[in-house]
Amino acid sequence: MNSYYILLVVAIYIALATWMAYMSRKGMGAGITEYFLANRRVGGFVAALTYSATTYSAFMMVGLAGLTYKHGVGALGFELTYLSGLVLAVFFGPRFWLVGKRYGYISPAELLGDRYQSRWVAVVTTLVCLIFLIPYAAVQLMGVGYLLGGLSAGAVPFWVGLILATLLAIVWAWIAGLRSVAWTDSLQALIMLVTSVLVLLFVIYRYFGGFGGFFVTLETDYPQWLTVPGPGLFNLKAYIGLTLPWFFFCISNPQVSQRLFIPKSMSAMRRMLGGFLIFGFIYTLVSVMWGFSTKVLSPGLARADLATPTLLSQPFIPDILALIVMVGILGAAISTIDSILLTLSSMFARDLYRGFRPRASEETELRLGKWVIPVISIVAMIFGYLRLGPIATLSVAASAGLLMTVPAIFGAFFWKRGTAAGAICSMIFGGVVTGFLQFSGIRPLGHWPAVWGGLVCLVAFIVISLVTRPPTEKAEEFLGYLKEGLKERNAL
Amino acid sequence: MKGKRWGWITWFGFLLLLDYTVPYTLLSGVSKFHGAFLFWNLFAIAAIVSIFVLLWKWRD
Repeated sequence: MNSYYILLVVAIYIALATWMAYMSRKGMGAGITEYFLANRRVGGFVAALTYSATTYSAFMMVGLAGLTYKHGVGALGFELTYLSGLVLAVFFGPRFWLVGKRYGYISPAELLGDRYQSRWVAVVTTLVCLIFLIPYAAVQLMGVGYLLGGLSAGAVPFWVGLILATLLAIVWAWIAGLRSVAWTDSLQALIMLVTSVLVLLFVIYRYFGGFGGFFVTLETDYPQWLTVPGPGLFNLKAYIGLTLPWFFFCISNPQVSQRLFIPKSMSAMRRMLGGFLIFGFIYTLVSVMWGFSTKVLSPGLARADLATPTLLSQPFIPDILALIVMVGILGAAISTIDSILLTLSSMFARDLYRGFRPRASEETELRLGKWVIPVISIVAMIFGYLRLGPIATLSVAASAGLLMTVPAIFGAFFWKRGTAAGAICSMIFGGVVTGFLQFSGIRPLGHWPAVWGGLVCLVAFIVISLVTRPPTEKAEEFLGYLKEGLKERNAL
Repeated sequence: MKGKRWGWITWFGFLLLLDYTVPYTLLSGVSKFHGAFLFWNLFAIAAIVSIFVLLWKWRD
């Protein structure tokens, strides 16, 4: 595809999204809650779209399609297990929202720190998130690099996509904080969904003659791709190892769980989660079917991450459609990165800086948070440039690390006996085990790092909590308030 | 409320058990659309409908 067309469409998209980001400043107030959480006044529709765009990233259209291309239908089960994990948001969503409003929490780390009455809990949570989310942000940048490079047949170098995505994420996060992120996310989510469905319908009806033809071709030419373990990766142990962190994604990833603070009401949160479920189901099916389609159309690709650019480069796909989809994927990547940047910067300012300087003014805290955004972006960009592994593998590795915050989160809401020492040790021990197994490639008894890390983390949390002193007064007050609030709102 | 909570947890636990067992046992030899592909779609629809039921009970 002509690289000038690519750049033209990207330029139009940038102009439109930047205009929206500026428009979002209208009526914006001052202060850190306004900047990082849009003052907890986000309506259900925008909340659903920003939740969707933040959750679904380059991983879906590039990584999941590639995973399906290479390993078959197990990729569908893997991603739908994630979607079923939204049941956790039914339990945790109202809890995050209620205590967020009552205690004024900005970040999930701050929530944990206060609940366990230890700033070190917040510090360790923030560090775990920084360590594991930066590679995840890098993955998104890589997705953009691959996509632009693949579509232009190498005319747009990998690093150009990388830098472009980094700059856009910084600008859109910077302009109005969560407001600009949510508005640009909404635009991007709509583009992502509409264009991806359009391409799928185009491929299915133009090439396969309908869904019947599509499945008959798959069943005939690639039967193994419709079963598990399938052609390779998805044996049961791998499936467990991959889905375990994915199932807990909606509470373990702070850029997603922070979204639980922002709806203006319970109705808005209901619309946010309900809208996301519908979006997610369609988007997952589309991504997986993209992967299958590419398998049939172009079976001999050197790298699975090239499946999507290859599909979009097929001669029977009109250039204009491919270009709009490219914008959709670009949007998917950037909407995730800017949310990660915003969340990490809020954690840096609130949980690292203010944790040690409680008298610091809110203005200073906010200024610091803003300046951290480009710093984290550049670190992520360097990681992306190094291309440490395939997109799907790196994404799961990041989520495996973040899984180590889950026992502490469960404990905060469901176990009065949980302690700060238990929370801190669980995250450190679990994180070290996961990181070691991930990078050494060792799989004891064939199980993946998330399984062993999760086990160590859970045991450490329980055992150390039982031998240390819990913050009983805070736990009683925190959980007592929740009990009343949940009952009033008929939430489980 | 506690009883209801455990009822729902049991239901979702059951769904997850099916998620991990059915495609690897009953459907492992079915290389058709109506094998693991259809199963995982039905599993997701069951989970989504159940979540919707819970969401619609919430009050402001």
